[in-house]
Amino acid sequence: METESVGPVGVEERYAVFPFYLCLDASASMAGAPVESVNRQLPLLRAAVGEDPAVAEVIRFGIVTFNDRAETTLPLSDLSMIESMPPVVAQGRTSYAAAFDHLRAVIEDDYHASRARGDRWYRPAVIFVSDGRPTDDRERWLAAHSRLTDPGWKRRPNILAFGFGDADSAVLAQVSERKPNRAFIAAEGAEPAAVVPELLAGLIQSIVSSSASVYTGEAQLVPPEVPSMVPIPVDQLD
Amino acid sequence: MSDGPPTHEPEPAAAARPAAAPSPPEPVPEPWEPVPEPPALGRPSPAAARPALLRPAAGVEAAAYRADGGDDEVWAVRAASVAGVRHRLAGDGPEDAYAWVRLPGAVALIVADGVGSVPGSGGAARRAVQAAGEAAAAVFGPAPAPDEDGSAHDPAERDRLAGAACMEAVAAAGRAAGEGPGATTIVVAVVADAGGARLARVGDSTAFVLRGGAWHELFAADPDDGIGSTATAALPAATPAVEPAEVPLGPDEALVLATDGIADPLRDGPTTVAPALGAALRRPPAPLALAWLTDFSRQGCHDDRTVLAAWRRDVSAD
Repeated sequence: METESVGPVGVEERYAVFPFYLCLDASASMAGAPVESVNRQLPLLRAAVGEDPAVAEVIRFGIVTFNDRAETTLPLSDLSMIESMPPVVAQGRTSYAAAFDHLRAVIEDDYHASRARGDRWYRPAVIFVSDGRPTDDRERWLAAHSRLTDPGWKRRPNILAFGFGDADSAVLAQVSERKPNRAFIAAEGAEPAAVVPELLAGLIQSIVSSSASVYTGEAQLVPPEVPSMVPIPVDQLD
Repeated sequence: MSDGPPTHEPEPAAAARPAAAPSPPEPVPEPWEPVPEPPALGRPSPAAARPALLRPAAGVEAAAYRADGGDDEVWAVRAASVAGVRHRLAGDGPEDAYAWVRLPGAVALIVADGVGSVPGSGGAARRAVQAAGEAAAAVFGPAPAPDEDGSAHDPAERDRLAGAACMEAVAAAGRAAGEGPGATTIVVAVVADAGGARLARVGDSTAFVLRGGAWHELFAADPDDGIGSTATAALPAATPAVEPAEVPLGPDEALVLATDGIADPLRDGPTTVAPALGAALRRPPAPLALAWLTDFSRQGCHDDRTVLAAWRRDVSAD
């Protein structure tokens, strides 16, 4: 018995990349030590990722900040091509809806631009960091979150959520779609000024480990290890 | 003053000798030509240009560079397997494995890819290919005596045996993988000396037929929904998802088994990787030449790479 082979190989030259978005709360409550720590740590992240070609070849990194509105402060980039990281300025309130709507739009735009350059994407990762509760209506930010995580949207990201200060565990669990080991909250008594450096150091390790998983043929988002943060329990039946 | 025979004037010191006319130096024969770096197929990988870290211990069983092959009256088989850039830079050994077994009236080809996120997967892949080869040999049994002309020579019987051998090989590979740590994908092909190929796989290792310079994949690739897949089936598994396939193998065609370290860039590089490997495998290459090419540089392609190919010699124009 003979059967025809399944099909010929395609015609489009492509290169696999793993997009990471840092979605950072830049509301007024982050002013002072937390945002100063962020601005000290981001250049270290750029160096650790951008100067290791085995990592930089496959990782693309972008920064979205949010307060009353959201903006892209670092477009999705090859960190080996970036000379400095943009400073983060803290002001305003904490609109989760603005963050989620912006992420949905920027991921879609980045995907098409990246695809046109010949990239093949692994599912993007969003590292969501907040020190507070959303200041917008619950229905509004939940609706924006639903658009970002819509199962029918092929570019929907995997989300890791980290909170400290006044952040709410239940809210962060919802942000990370109540998936196990995807939401973390600062341990009781942990100071934001101590948590932020640990979190960004953990993010570096997460990116390096996630890039290594690409090289072994099984791209997966590896959560950061942050000693002063604890996983938020989730009901796995949800 | 001596009364004896005059002595010769002492030889002048070499330094005092008049300079002889310089003669052109003899060319020093080169014992070998330096081997050029493996080619860049597409955008080059800066990481691939970095030197490998010396591993704490190494041996032939899990060598970072492996090449082999041979011909008989029916088949030419070639294999090349190289550790991925990431493994080499980290001082780790490869997690791919391969085996072939010449059976009575057929040949079995096996490729496995240890699952990188599970410790011990290189060993699982090696156990799997060995067990798969032994299982395929058991299905075919010993070679028939020269004067026998029974059912074992019947093409339909060979085809039935080939299919059974593939399934038995995958089952045995699953048991062997479970005898120790780690997890692995596997793809098995059994090709009768005069017939088509029967195949089976678990996971994303795959197989192609190279026909007229064009690659034809024998298993369905993941649907291209714009986002790469992030998980693969593997052995051991309680109920492994075994995918069968079959294909005729005609004159001047190569059956090529590959891990995803080869298959992904081959699919992603239709104007670079695919034609380069296609040209190299149009005829059976020298094993070392195949290993050299398999070590090509390409941005973001740092997985272990294994290719195992067979050509039917009795019908191809060598």
